[in-house]
Amino acid sequence: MTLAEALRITSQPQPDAPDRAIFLVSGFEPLQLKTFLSATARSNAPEARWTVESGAFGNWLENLERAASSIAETVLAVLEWSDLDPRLGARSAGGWTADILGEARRFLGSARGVLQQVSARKRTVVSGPVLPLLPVDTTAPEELGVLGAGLRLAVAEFRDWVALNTQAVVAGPEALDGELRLDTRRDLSLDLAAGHPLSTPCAAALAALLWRLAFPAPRRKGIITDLDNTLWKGILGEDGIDGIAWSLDRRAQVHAWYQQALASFAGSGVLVAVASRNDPKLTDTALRQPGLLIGYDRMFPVEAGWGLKSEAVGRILATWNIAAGSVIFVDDSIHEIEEVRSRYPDIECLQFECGDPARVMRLIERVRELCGKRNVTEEDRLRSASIRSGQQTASEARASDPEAFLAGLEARLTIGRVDARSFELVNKTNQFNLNGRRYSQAEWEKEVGRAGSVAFSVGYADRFGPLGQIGVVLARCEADALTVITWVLSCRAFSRRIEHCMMRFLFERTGWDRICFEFEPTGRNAPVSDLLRAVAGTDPSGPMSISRDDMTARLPRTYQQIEQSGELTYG
Amino acid sequence: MADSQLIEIFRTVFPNLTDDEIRGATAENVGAWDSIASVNLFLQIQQEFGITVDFEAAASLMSYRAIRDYVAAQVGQAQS
Repeated sequence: MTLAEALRITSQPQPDAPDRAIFLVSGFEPLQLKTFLSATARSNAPEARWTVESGAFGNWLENLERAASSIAETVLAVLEWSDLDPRLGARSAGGWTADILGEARRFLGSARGVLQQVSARKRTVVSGPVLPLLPVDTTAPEELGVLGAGLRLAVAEFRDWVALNTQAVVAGPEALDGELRLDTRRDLSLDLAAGHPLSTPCAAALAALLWRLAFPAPRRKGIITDLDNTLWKGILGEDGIDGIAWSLDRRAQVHAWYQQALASFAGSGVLVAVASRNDPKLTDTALRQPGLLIGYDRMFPVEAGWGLKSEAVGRILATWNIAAGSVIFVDDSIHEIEEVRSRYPDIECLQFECGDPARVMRLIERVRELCGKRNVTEEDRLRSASIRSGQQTASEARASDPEAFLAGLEARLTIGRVDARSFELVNKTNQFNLNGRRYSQAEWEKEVGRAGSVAFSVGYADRFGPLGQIGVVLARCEADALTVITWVLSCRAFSRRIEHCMMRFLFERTGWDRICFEFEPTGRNAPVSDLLRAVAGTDPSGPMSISRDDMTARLPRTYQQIEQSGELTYG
Repeated sequence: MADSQLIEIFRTVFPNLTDDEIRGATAENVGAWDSIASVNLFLQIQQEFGITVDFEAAASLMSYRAIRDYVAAQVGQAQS
């Protein structure tokens, strides 16, 4: 984005829409950075009215404290060398002496505590320093000097501490290196004239980075991989099991990188499946080899056969029950990629170019960009196994009497307090979602903490294994009714009458004879409208209520044993 | 140096002014002309005309005409 484009965007009137605010914490005069940030927010989220606040010049810590008490739900804290000690900035003439390091450490020590508090309550991103250090050392610029080394170490330790001990998202130290040389980031003339040390390109790049970190694009949930000359070097059908390779001594190290990357992604909850033109039995044998760096149990499903790749991809998407836009497809053949892309234009297709190690490494980095997540939960680790068990469930269900099957599941629902996983579920579930309502962290905490509210999470396990936390309910007790304002259920948990059990639990646990549901059709929440229609006997088109009598008469039998772990969350 | 390029730059900073108003604009008769507006003007001028602006010297240029003359001189110097 150029400055002219940013100015054009920010000069446009904003829509009559919900207000959203960002607090930009900096010690320098934010000027262009603020303009670019404002333009980025308006471009990426035009459904809101954006305000970018900032604090006073020269006091980073005080601005951070001000951010903590502001109404802004997002804090972007941009740290520069001059914040650690003003003598590290171009506008100071205090002398470049060794005691700067002590001052810097004291500043960073103070910042830790404030960041911990702010990030516990607001979405917080920390970046910087992105500018090069001024020539403060006695050594030649190419040589690492004592003061520079000490400062860089102090900042690195600070960044590590913040990343590990707070809820803030920390920009990696090399985040801008791919697009901006260090020597192009500073504008000394502008710094002296106006107190804004960043060059225009640096301000633009930093604003874009801060936005991506604060509001990351939805992560891709699955990777569908080819096998021949992708997962391994060689063609299984021609070279045989002994002929395929993924090791350095067989000049196939890039495939080892790829396998270990897939194993890492699978461990963090990304689904991995195989789509390969190969004999199914031979493929099964090859994938069960003990030397493979991604375990057989980490890949599901495996679609090996001779039909079109796009058809295999379609079956995988159906098994996973996720949209094509949430998936990455990796293949060495540009022909296969184009074939899949023609059928599923929303799939991110990446070509595995096994003859070019740099491109393979770039592919792995790209997958990490698309799939990486900061916190790996127990549900993430269970995801692939739960889909596999879901397949087993569906398979047995098809083969038997439905009621007998459900009764024989040995299913258990665990009702508990809401937590970070609950917040994640509420904001990413689409199909079984009462009204599609999304919350910021602050909005969620406010609703859960509101007087008269009751919130609970639902976990599920049966004889096929655990699914982890799969449902969330948030309701409000009003004078004459209980009103459910948010209700979500993960699509992995469908076909087990869990939603029916949750509805029954609501009536039985709360004692209300009538419960209102703030239903809104979203175009994707047909499973909710199907349930409400079945119980209420009328077509839901908006908020509606269900009586205990209707629930008793129309809700099908449920077989789950309910365990309550601790008290529910009450406002 | 084409006037139209400079007018376009002024238009991004002062979108409510007509071309004629821009040609007669001064920091006194344009309410939105503050120090931030000046910075935005000169940053774009740097990029558009490929010159290096001395921001401290440029801070005294408070009219379209003064800026136009400054830019023309800088561009002329850069070309010679």
